[in-house]
Amino acid sequence: MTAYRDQYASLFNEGRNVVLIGISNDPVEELGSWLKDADFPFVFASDAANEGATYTLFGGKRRDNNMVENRSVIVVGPDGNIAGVIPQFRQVDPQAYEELAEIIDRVTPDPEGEG
Amino acid sequence: MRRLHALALVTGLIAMGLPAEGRAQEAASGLLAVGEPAPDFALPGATRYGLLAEPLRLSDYRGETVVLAFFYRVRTPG
Repeated sequence: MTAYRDQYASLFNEGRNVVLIGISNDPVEELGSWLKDADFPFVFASDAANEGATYTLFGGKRRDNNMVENRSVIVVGPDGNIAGVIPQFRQVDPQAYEELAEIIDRVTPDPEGEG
Repeated sequence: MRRLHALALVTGLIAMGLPAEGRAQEAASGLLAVGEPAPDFALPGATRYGLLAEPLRLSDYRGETVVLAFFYRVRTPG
């Protein structure tokens, strides 16, 4: 998630109209503590109580230890529909962020247009 | 002419889609396809300022673009 922070300003318009939610099976207290220590400007959600079932809601598969099969990225558009799916996000590869930026730009209203 | 325009539009839309390799990878992963409604969820959430008092619901972000990043474990590199 550190790489996401470094990409945050350009990719996520500083959070305007684009929200990044990181999801893992860690207890929410551990996620909160990491967010604070690393000063991440995004939101984490804990799927610990569901043992990773949220990933399966989106069609993903879990491993034997209930962890997600892959570091998948799913973009949900402002209309609530799936706008893009990256099954295996290579989060240290700059090209992966270009692909993600293309999806985001395609569905996100321009923040400048809001005055 | 109108039919030609429609054909050009459809061809353009197909060309704008994901490359074949991406589509194959998507299908193998079993993940939902582009255009399908995203299922709602409610999970305990946190920001750098602390734990959220209310569960985080995907539907609360309607009108905004949401990037869901599934990851393995806290404090792992990347």
